[in-house]
Amino acid sequence: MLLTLFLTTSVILLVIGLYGLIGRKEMLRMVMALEIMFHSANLNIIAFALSSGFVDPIGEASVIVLIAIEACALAVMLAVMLNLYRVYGSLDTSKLRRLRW
Amino acid sequence: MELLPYYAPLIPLLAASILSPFTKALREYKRILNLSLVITVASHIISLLLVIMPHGLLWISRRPVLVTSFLRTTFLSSLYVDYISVFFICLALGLGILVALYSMHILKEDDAPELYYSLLNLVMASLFLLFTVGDLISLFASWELMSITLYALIFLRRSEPLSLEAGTKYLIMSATSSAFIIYAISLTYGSTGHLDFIGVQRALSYEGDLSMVYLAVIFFTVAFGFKAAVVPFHTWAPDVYQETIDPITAFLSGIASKAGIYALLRIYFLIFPLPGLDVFISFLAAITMTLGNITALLQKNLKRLFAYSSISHIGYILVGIAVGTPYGILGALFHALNHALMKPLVFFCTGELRRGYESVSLDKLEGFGRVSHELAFATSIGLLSLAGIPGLNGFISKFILIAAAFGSGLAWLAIVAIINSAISVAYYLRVLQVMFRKPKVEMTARALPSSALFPILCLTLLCIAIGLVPSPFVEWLSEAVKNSLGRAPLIISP
Repeated sequence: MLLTLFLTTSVILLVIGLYGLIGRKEMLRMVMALEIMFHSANLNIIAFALSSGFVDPIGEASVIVLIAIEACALAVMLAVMLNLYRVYGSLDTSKLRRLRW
Repeated sequence: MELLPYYAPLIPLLAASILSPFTKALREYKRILNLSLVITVASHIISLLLVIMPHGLLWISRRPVLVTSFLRTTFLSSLYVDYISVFFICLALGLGILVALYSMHILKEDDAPELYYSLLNLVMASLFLLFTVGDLISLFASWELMSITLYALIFLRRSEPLSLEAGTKYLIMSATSSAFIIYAISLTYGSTGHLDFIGVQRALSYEGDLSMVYLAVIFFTVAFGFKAAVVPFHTWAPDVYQETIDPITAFLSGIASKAGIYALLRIYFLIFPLPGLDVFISFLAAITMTLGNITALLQKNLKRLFAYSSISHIGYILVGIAVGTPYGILGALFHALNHALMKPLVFFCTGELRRGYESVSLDKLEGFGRVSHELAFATSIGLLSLAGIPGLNGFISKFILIAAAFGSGLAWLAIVAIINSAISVAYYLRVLQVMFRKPKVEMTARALPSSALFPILCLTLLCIAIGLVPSPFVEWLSEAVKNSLGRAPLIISP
């Protein structure tokens, strides 16, 4: 029962993340949506680690490793956003359309 | 002592960490560049020697080896090595040396050569780890290390708006694919309770409900397909290939897309050996080939044309994976090898064209073949080999792939591949025709610097040699496929 609740939350978070990624054009919002997607997966792993009756150390340890890796990726994304703002003067990704076909 | 070969990735990692602080002290651009290049090439050669030396990784992996950190009911394996891993490692290291050499005269003073070479070493270390890891979390960690290093390399000329635009597209798509990988890992963990390759594989055999596992496989395919530029997820590839500097384009097309192929091979044939996936992959292969080739017909920019041709070649490799028999996988690996030789060759040539004639647009390059003979020869060999002309390496691997598809009942896929081969000849020949046409304006010959001549010459000779004498390569690869697939691994627990 508890597992179902966690899994439903995780799926809802994934859908919210995907919607934010596809529906929004501002880079900051897209990065936030990406973070939501990452953490929906982390929530999933924690829920599964709890569900086997005892706390599975592998699941817990994996989530900590994953959070560290995601933080690195986030740092690079923020650096890119800063650069984008310097060159284009805005974070609107719909302006990035010079390269087509 | 028996674990010594597994420490080979530490050498590029060490080179990456010492390069920047040690070379900064030199102050002079030329000397920094030379020292960085020497350290990078040395670290690659030492790792390559560690792999192929007696009692090295090549010797160990005569049968699949699993090195685990601790054995219990659920064990977290840390390394999984077989001939396929060794094949990809040697390919990446060999091409890494050529890319490092070729970058030498492309870099400018404000590109920070010590950081550039440090990143090249880091991406090599991450690829090394990616090809040897044995559980999904380590796979994701090395995958992310590779992606983040590639972001930095793509953003090298970050003040140019077009380069920034291409890089931003790549960043967003690649980060999305990472999110998909973690979600797929969580689904795998939930349905099997394991995270290591062998544990998942064993758990699948007594699993009742496989719907979540199939969902995980589809997520993995989407995510690794992003990096390999499989068609519905390919939109970043032409932009990035067009706008990054040429050694990085060669690296992305030659090695980074092969990392995606390696991960897909592991997913389909080691971790999730499930029935019914071949329909899905053959569909992906068919649309990848067709869309890549048809879009390439419309291109005016030479690098963009090669980017689309790169996509279509990933489609040919997927044909072998879809067939799934040892013969098909042999074809896929052999085509991966050939593509990793031909594509860097043509991208090195376009790099020289861009340096010499300030443009890679086809109408500005009319008639360069009549004046720069070495460059024209190398480009023609690359183009003919990509087109699959008999006598060059591209023909043999395409032939194996198509024969394998006919042999295992996927005749429609083989016919699609043949039609696509015919379409692709059209645009390769168009480039050749433009090369040797009488120019409207006078073209001047440009001499190649030796740091460009050596990689181009190496790759050209390899293309011709594999085309003329393919049998040693085919025999070694068929041995590799036989040794790697479907055999239980030897478990070592130090």
